[in-house]
Amino acid sequence: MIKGIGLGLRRELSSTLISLKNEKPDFVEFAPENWMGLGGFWGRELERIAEKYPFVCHGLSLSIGSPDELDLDFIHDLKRFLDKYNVTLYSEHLSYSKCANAHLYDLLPIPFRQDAVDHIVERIKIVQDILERKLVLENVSYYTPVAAEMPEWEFLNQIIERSGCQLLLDVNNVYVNAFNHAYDAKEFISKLPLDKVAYIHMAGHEQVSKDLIIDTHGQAIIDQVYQLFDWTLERLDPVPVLLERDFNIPSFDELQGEMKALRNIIENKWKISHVAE
Amino acid sequence: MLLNKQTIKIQEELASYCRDGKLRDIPGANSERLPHYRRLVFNVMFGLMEQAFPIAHSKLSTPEFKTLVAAFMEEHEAKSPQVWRVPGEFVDYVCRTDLPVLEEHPYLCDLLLMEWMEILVYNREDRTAEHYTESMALGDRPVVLNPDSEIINLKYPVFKRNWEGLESGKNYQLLLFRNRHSLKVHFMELSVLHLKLIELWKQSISYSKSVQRAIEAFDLENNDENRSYVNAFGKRLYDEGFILGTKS
Repeated sequence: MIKGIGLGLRRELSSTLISLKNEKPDFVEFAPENWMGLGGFWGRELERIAEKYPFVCHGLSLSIGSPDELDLDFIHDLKRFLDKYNVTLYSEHLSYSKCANAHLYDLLPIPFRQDAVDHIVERIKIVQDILERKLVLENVSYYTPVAAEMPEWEFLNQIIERSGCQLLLDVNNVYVNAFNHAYDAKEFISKLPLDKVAYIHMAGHEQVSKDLIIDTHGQAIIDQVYQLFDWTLERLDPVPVLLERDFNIPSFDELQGEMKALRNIIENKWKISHVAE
Repeated sequence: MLLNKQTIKIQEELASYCRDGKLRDIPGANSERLPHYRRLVFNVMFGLMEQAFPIAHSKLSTPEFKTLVAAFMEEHEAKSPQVWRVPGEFVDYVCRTDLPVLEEHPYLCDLLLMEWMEILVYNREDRTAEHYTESMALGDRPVVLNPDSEIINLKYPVFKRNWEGLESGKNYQLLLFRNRHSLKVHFMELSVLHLKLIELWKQSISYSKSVQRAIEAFDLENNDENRSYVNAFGKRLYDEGFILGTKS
């Protein structure tokens, strides 16, 4: 069972993670698309990582919100990969990254509309049936709404409730969206189905103008996001927490420092509440 | 399809804008913030190609390379869900177009192909070799070749990295293979005689018979000098890990 504090696996970090003796993350997370079908050096690195750490997979190319057909060949390949490594937790983004037959390799915002909910719910069920696993979907950051007809929280709630999928609660993304779209982050989280949260993402971001933050995963987590995380934990049962860092990778000491800060908050919140029970 | 036509159109317009940079009127969107999506999508693709093709990137000016990436994004529908495979699609795209950059850099297609094949051979799933015994005594037994390999045909000798006066003259054959111990990719230019030898070895003809047949095929004298030349090639292939050993 996955628990504790994890770290996103980047190729730059693999040798350190393999050789690490102390203060190891409890698990690692990686994008299956970046490792499926690899041999040679990276295939062997993945085997070493798998021997040393439990891991979860966080996909990039499922494109669950796309108007295009689902790529069934890819989903079957994915299932073989998840089965091979006995991955129980597979998450993706509630966004689309492929459209009109072309992959874009980035996350575009889905219009918050009823027909999009219906469309995505149907697709999630197909994916879950093929994978024989519950899909876990992440609330993504976005910089502009697109043709929205309902608030984001309602869009998320409907999809999770009707599809039976779970939620990957990205606390940094909530912070980013609340800032970018001028809403209250705590109120937003309060409206989510928190009993469906499978795990949490934490990351840094970059403010590019006075009213816009871009979710870069290229900086350290800021205090306000730690505070929102702290507040959120009071409302959740214990779940795994993952630190994402995709760019400007700092020294491993710095990453360990961030993981330690997250661990302190978790231990403070969840152990105390556990004792109180 | 449960999506209505209007939602599909909106999603397609946003995706098209990210690919071609031509701003559309997208309902409910903040037009000042939309360019961030185009920028982020472009940066992902540009960074990917910059990393995949360091030599080609260094031979082209930054505007030339950016133009090439932008044209690829706009005109090519990227098929692979695995982003590391997209540079292969980039090579296919560039090599079937008549973009002006190819007139300025006529060797570009060969260079991109060579750089991509290195990535592919380095990364792709291990292929199973026939059972073999590691031995330099290749003699009368068929040899087993490293299956993690490719031979590519080039018009320009881009692998020599001698860019001054680079001219297309003949067909160059380049062997790339992943050494099974170091896992690094080795490159080797092949002459037509070398190519013939590899063809014969692939047909499970014994090492020594292959040497004899290759020498005869090129009307060479079957003397010590020519056998020694061929055997030096065989030894080099064994030492570097393309010949794995003899069938066991």
